[in-house]
Order: sequence, then C-alpha cells, then structure tokens
Amino acid sequence: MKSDLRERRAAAGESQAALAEAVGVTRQTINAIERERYDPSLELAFKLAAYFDCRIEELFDPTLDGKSRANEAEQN
Amino acid sequence: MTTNQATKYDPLTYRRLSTACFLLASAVLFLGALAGYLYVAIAVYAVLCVAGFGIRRTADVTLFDERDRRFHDRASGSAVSIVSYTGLVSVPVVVGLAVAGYIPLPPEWFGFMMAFPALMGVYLVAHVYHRYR
Repeated sequence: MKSDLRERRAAAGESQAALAEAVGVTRQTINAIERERYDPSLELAFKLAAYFDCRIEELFDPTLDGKSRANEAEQN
Repeated sequence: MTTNQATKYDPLTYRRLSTACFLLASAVLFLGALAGYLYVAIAVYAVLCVAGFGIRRTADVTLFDERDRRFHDRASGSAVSIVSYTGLVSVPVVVGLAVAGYIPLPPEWFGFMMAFPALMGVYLVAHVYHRYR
C-alpha cells in the first residue's frame, strides 16, 4: 500500500525510531511501511493518521482492484 | 545503530539477546541429551528460557509488534499446513508399504503417528477458541 508516510515524517523532522515509539511499534515496522513492504493494521493506520493529524485516506493510498459502486455507476 | 532516546537501549539488542537465549537453550537441551546429561541440560534449558522471557517482559521498549505477530501467525499456519499435508500423504503410504512387507516400520514412526493427531487436536482447540471467543 502506497503512502506518503516517509515524506510526512521527514517534514515533521521525526526519526523512524521516534515515530515508532510514538505509535507503539518497532522501527522496523515503520521502515517496512515506508518501503511499502508491509500494510499496517487498521488500528495502526488510525494511530499514524492521528499522529500526523490527517485522515487515513490522506496518508495511505491503497490500490483497489475490485469494483466499487462509483465505478459501476459510471459504467452504467 | 538506532537507539531509543527515552530508554537509551536499542530494542534490537533486546530482541537479539532474547532470541539468543532461546536458541542457546534449544542447543543446550539437544546437545546435553545427546551427551547423556539430560537433567543438567533440562536445568540449563529452563534457566535460559526464563532469561529469554525475562528480557522480553522487563524491556521497557516495544520488542515485538503487530508485524511480528503477523509473521508469527503466518509461520505457524504454514508449519501446521506443511506437517498436516506431509502426514496426510506419508502416513498411509508408509503404513501401507510396511504392512505389505516392503519396508520395516521403525519405532520412531509410531511417535510421529501419535504426534500428528495430537497436533491436529491442538490446532482444532485453538481454532475453536479463536473463532468463538
């Protein structure tokens, strides 16, 4: 899952370790999220969004392959 | 090496120490049993396991998080699946060949045949527990 976690963290001047401690995970997990090697749980995603004072949709950008009502409405 | 400024200790060091305790405990138990010092090996094994768990409990930093738990869950599931499918195929084949007289049935095989359904039973209990709790 794509995210701009690295950019937001850098803009805030925070290290991976500091962010990890703030949200209760290991530095390796933060690194894995930034490298798009790990998708966080809903709980962790909410914690990260709250930490950067933004919405989850602004922080993470999932690539959804399934259909959505909006897509079906456009096609019809 | 990244350090936790609040505690001044590296979480990775705690993890490595704890893991080393468990690995050493396993090695001591295995080698001690082989060498014939089973009771000594068990005692050292117990001490090292307590040390390993003690490090995890007393460390004031996050050592294992959701990502580690996810890896653990997936690895556990894979291990059960591998043992299950291996036993599902191998047990009937080996028993059939032994009954037909093609191969001898070693006594260790009976241990595996007892352990296999025991593992499935534990899995079933754990599955029901997590599903209905």
